[in-house]
Amino acid sequence: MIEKSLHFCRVLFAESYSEFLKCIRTPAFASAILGFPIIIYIFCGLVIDWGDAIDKSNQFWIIAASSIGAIGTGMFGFGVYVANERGQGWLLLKRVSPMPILVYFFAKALMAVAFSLLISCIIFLIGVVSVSIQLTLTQCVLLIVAISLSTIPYCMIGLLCGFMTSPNTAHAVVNILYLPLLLLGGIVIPFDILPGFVQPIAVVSPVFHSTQLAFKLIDSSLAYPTILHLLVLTAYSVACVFLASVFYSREKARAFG
Amino acid sequence: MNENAVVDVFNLEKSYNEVLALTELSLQVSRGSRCVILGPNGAGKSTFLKLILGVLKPNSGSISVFGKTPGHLAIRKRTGAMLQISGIPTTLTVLEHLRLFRTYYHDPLPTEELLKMARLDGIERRSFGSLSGGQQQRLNFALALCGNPDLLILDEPSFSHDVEARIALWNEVDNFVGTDRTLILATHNLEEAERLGDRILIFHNGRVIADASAKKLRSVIGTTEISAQTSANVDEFRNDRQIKRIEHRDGQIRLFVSEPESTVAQLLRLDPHLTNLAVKPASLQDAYLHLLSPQSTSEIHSAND
Repeated sequence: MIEKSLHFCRVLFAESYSEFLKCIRTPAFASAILGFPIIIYIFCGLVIDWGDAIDKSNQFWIIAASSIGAIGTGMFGFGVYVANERGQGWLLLKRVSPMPILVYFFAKALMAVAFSLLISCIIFLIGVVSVSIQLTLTQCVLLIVAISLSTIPYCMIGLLCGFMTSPNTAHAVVNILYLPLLLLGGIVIPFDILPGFVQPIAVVSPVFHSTQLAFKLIDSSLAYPTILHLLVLTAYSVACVFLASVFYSREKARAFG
Repeated sequence: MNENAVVDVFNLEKSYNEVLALTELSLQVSRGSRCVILGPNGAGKSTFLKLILGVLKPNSGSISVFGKTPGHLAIRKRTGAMLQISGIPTTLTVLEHLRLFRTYYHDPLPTEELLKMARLDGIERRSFGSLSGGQQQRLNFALALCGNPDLLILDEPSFSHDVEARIALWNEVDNFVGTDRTLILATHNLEEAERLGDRILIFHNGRVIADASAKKLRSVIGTTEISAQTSANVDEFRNDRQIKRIEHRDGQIRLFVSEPESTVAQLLRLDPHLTNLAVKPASLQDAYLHLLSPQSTSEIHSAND
């Protein structure tokens, strides 16, 4: 048992290290994933003066931009990558090797969370340096950890996108889903100023719950309890993994070659 | 069940929706044998390999590898596979790929040995993306050898190799498999099939239409090919029982016979002025094309010869 666990950890470490090398050696990918949320924060959080529409403490844009980073990393960095590797046969080669296949997904999810952590750290650092954000160090750490971990449900959504369509179209499907998720989730436009008919839709979106989870860390007066957000995000994750496995099984029965 | 069987298949059928990929497939691959699978595209070769590897499940019938259901961890530890894939991450180096794959096994082959066997020494620090097509295939081969497998499954291993590299790869496969390991290889290259296989399976429309040694397969169209440019009347040979096959086009005649001497004499008698006379052993390619031709009704099953 101990030997099995050690072997699992050794493979997980090696896989994660390979994922890390792949990411840092693909500057275009890394810079796009890193750059977009940082630019959003600088532009929306620091350059634009929103007047009284959004709180002056700058907390909204710090959390929103970090969350955009988590969503993008999960959906593109995990989901689209898995879809590509599946389409090109790399996943097949892993499956026929004795590598525990869960390690493959764990390592990718781990890298997505690490990237998300890096994005959040950079955004918080810019926030601290540029404006006097009214957050304690503990709050900052808690927020960074919570937002980074919120990458996981988006990895699962990306996984579903990657398996419900052909590998080549996964990127397009994620793109189609990505922007509406951001808009409806109250992340680009704050929930309170979303049109009334959009708010009920926003409430059922995973983005709403992952960002509210973060906001709840600094404002306990918010309406919904933390446990609800955690349950919704867990439900999304489980449902996506289940559906992805169903689509994958169907594909195996259909694939010819 | 044969105790010595590495792969044991009985009455296997696999279809993809309405498309039948394999049907009525029953065969055994013994330990130490070198089994080569030939067949046109879509004949079911890759499907068969994927069934052995456990990534596809049959619709009916049974298949076992090392006595277990394909895909079992114990089988994956003993099997090395080189598949037709294009998605090996391009930014990792040869060494990084090998080190990663070695962690999957409890007792992998040393990295230096893998580099040497796949002739990757000297380019081990180059990224996969910077390698030529042949070099990339060699890394693919090295990954298949990482776990020192008892069963080696190769799908078109010499694809994109130049002649020299192809021969070198055949030598490496030959040396590695030796007499103890089992090889299952799918290819379109008949020279490769003859060089590496002691048993050749020809798949056609999801069925095995031939299962024999290359020598036995060649005998189906005669063991010798006589060719010449001649004005002799081909019909003179139609009733000759020892002529297995006649091809005639634009004055060029090809006769496949078991005893060439009398046929050559007859040919010269009919046309003393013939040109370009050649007598050579019939090739596997001729036998292969004959078996796949729509007119052919031949099936050869003599794997134990």
